[in-house]
Amino acid sequence: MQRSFAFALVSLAIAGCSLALGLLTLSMTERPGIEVRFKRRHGLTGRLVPGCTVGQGFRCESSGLWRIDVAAQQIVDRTDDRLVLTLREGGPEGEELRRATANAELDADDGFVGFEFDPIEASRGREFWFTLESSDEAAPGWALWWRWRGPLVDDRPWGDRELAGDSFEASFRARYADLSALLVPVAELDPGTDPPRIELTEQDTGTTLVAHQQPVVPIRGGHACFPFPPQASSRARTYDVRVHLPEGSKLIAGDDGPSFQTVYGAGWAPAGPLGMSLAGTPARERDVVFRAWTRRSLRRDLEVLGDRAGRRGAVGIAAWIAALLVLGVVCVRRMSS
Amino acid sequence: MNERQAKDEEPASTSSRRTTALFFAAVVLHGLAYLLLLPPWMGEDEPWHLEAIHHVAQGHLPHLGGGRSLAPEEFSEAPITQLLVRRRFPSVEPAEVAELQRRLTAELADHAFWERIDWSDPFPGATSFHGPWASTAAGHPPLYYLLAGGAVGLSGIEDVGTQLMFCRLLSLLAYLGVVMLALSSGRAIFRDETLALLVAGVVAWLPIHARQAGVVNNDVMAKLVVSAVFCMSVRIVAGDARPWERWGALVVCLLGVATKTTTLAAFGILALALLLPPGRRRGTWPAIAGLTALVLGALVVWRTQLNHAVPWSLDEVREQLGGALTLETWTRLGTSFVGTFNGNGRALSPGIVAAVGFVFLALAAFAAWRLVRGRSDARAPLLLCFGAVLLQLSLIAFHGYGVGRYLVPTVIPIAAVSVSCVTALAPGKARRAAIATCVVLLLIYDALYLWTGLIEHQYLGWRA
Repeated sequence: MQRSFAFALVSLAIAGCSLALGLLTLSMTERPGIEVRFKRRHGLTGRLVPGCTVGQGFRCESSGLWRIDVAAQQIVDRTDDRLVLTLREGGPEGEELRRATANAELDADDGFVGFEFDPIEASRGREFWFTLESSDEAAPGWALWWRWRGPLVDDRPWGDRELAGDSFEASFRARYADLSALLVPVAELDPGTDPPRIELTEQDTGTTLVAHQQPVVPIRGGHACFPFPPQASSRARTYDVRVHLPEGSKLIAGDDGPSFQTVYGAGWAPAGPLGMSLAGTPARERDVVFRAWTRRSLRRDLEVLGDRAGRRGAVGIAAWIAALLVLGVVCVRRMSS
Repeated sequence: MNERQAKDEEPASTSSRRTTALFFAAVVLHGLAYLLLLPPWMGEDEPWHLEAIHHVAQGHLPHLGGGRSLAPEEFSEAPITQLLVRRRFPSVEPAEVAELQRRLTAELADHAFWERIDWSDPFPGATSFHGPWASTAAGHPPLYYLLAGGAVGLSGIEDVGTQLMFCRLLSLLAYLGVVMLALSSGRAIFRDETLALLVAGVVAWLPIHARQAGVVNNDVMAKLVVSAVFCMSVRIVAGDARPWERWGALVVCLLGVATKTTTLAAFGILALALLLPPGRRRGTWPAIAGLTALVLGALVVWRTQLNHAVPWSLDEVREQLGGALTLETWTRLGTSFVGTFNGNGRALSPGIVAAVGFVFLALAAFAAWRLVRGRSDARAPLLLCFGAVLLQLSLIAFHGYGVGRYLVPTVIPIAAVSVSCVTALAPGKARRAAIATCVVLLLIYDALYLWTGLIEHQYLGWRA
């Protein structure tokens, strides 16, 4: 009887301590409530010149929203410019809830700048919209990174030099199906009265389509984006592209000529991010690379675990605990023999 | 043995058997926990492996010469990931290959693949592996796929998600098999049931191995093969082997050739066992020459299967060895052995990785020092353990790319070396305390791996 009691006690102690350790460490883990996934940052907005405000919407699934980080790039070497974030309820026209200035320099490890504000306790289940603008309109020094909701191919990577020019031609072989847009890195682009556009011709069929820059905004050190309807059968097809930019534009170029990238895919709607805007114009197929921090809560973690792991996960955790209980019996039997 | 002694030992041995049975019940539950908690398609390369298994289950046999020739016009018809499968399985219709990849990529999306895997761009509406993963399992030797595919075919399961879970049950069996081999090896090395159970316990609770109880990948068969050869080899060295075990080990080595390139160390382990004093007898050198010829034969066979792991020119050798000379290769190997998740994209916290890595390296250094000083109780078997791990590390170096799962085939010698240190550090009366400490540390590691690694990254840390 005494021995059985010892078995039970040691088993429960082992299982209980392991479970407690697991839950304790889980509750101490820092994790954003929402984080935009990216293999790499796809595109740069360019410096946030006056009128070129960047916006992003998201749906928050946890309570206590208290911080937002955005992936940013310092375009000029020295700047006193500080990014300013405005958080609104629902959408771009929603009630202003919080305003915060970047609380630190760029984090050298991951390239994010953070904005902290008084926590919004009842943030769970609500939609928010944040906009970012420059504090120094005369000399804006920051650009923001965004990701396309699909894969990107670096046909000609961002080069190391500026090239004065308002047009160029190139050919490329599409790597995937659903070719959706062309990205053109530019040092300077002022749309003016001559909206930037591309002509894309498929070599085999001779079919040509014309796409315009969207949104039409001035760009200083960023990507001009030319989206068009996804080309379902683009994989392995060769295209000629002719890019027309306004007079006075400056391209980014490398050894092979002006840089450009192609992006693919359409229709992916991740849970959380609701798409970005540039100068007030929506760009729903893109998201600012950001993360939003909410209050840490073990209870909320267990709720999420329950939702995502389901019954299989519950049985798995039960099996893990049962294994510890049986192992406890084995240990006591072995030690006492 | 007199009658009284026999009667005294009978209950003890029955009790010991019960303890062993309980231990295996715990192992099954532990493996089942990882099988269920690892989300579908989150085991390494599971979609590719299941693709090959599915084609075998449908009655298509892999081309044993490596693959049929592809006509030039086929290259514009389909992505490379489908062409490689068509090349390997000549009887599969192109539409069938495309349809299966479409079903598999839809499964990935249904199971939050893009939310979990950081190293791939999101592929909305992907219909082939081209993009998410520009590769297939078509270049691997066929044995694993023939066995798993045959079992799936017999089961009559059609749904790919259910096929995955069925194949994971086979991985659970392989996990159990390796733990049994660990117990047998532990008995041969230490001649002590408690230490043998501790070896088997380390093998069973070492997270990277426990996780393989739920992964559909030819790695699980590779580790079973190498573990079986190691077990027979250590029994040869310990003088416990039955006559058939030398030949048995050779046959299993050959099965390894038909399984995966990571099993190549099995030949070396067997050769080492034949060279070490207790195993050495007349005919050893011809046997070693024969094993060397078999290794060269295996390299040729693998190369004909278009397996990229085998270099075929001096440039390729130089390139792969160049990879081995980088710190990144060994850091990746160590980190992923201790704990990486979500397609090796995320790791346990650096503190845990450093602590566990330090413990393993310290134990290895201590065991090596004892061997060199001639203080080890089981010198020949422990030399075999070291030899096995070094052989496996050499293979990884030769491949030029290291991940922790490539080291798992030598999980038994790793556990045996660790246990030998525990007993050496705390001899006599302190041994029980040392064993208890070892068990507690292992359980803490397992709990941290599960909760701050697997559950944290696979279920809570999704990215949108």
